[in-house]
Amino acid sequence: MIILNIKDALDTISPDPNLILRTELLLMAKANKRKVKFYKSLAVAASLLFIISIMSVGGYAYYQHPVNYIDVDINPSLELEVNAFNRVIDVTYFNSDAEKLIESDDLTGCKTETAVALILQAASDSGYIIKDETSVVSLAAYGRNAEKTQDLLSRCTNTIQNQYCELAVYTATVSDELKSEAKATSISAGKLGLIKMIQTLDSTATTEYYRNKSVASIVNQLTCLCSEVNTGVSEETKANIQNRISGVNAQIECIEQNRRSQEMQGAGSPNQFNSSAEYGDTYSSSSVPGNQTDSGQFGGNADDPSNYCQPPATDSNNSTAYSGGSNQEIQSSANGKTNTAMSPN
Amino acid sequence: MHELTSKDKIKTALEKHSNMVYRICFMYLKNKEEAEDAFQDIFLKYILTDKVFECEEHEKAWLCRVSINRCKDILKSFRFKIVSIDSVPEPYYETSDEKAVLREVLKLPPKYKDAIYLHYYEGYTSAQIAKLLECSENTIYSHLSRGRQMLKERLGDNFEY
Repeated sequence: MIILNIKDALDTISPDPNLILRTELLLMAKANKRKVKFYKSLAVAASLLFIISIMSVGGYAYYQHPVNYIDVDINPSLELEVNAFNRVIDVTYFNSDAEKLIESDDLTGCKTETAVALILQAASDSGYIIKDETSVVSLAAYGRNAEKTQDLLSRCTNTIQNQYCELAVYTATVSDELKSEAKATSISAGKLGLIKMIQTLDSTATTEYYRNKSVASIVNQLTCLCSEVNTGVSEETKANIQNRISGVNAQIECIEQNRRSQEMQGAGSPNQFNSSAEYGDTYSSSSVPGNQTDSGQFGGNADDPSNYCQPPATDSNNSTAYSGGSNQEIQSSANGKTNTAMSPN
Repeated sequence: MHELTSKDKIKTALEKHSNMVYRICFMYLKNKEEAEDAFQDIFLKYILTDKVFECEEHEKAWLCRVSINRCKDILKSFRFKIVSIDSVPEPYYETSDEKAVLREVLKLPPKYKDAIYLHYYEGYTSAQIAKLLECSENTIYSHLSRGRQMLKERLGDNFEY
């Protein structure tokens, strides 16, 4: 009897060797195609990664690249580095008052106007801006694009004037030479510009002496020097400098006049007070009567306060530009035109 | 890594599993040409899969499962249904004793055929078959018992498993 079993029966089923060979070739071809596809995908992914990396690095570098510098001086003196997106990317402190005033982390990443507002808030909290006293803040801007720099300066000025009506704002744009010199002497370009004006009027004045002086005292000193006679400085030079500080002097005078009015009336008019705060060092000397006088601490005519409270016709395009220490180099840029200040005589 | 998994993997897989895959295909489709097409499809799927096999047994079980599923799909397909299975020539239905057993095995319903083949030829236990075919162990016992009984009835006393 033949014994049958399943295993023997199923053993008779086996694939044709040709089928195995054909299948092997087919699979090899598929695998190669897949390999090529894999490397293509890898190349595309690598390219994309490379492009994204380049864009990321480039974007980061662009973000971290400063295009404008804003020097803020009260007595605390610091500089904000601003990128093309109007964001603060770094803060440089020029004195210990500034270091104590605000942490750089609080300013980094903020919009420039916000950073300036934060600085002034901190200055107010720290007693550098006192309500019943007239304080002066200097804003000096430096940048390759003059139009954008001026625009940034105007926005910062407006931010200050909208919040601090008792604060006089001195604004200036900074030349390349002054910026380089300020960097070399570790002083803010805004303050150095003011010191250079003092040195023009007083050859014995040193940068070191005025380095830690407040902007208000420097402006006060400039006003006094301009009013002095027989100093050996030409009247034209004096007029030129007086022209530069006339705007801030007008603001100071207006603020003080308003304060006196409030004191006399018991309660002052806030509207009048606020309107005075819209002044900056941006007015032509002819619009400010105080420019014509030699008397008074800030050169103003206190008898006619209404003259000081006229809002400016154009203020954003008019600022002081420093280009060095000599008299000839201090120029006034008003309404886009360069004017040389005339002597009162 | 990829170089290893293309050439070597293909050769090794064909050497080890071609018989099993072809047998499953033939048992289901009962036709050489259809079995060969299914055979190539299954190995194509094998080479394109990203599945990582833990061991050789895992790989074998995966191929077994894929082979059964592929054959079932073909049997359900429109192309296969329009040609009656009875009209397909059966080259292995010969008169030899092994062929007689094979013929009767192939005539078994698929569920008994799977259990009989995997148990008596591939040597899987009922538990392993249950896991592979995703059904209960008792069901596999039942399928094996009924399959054996049917073969016994058809092949007589000179048949052993």
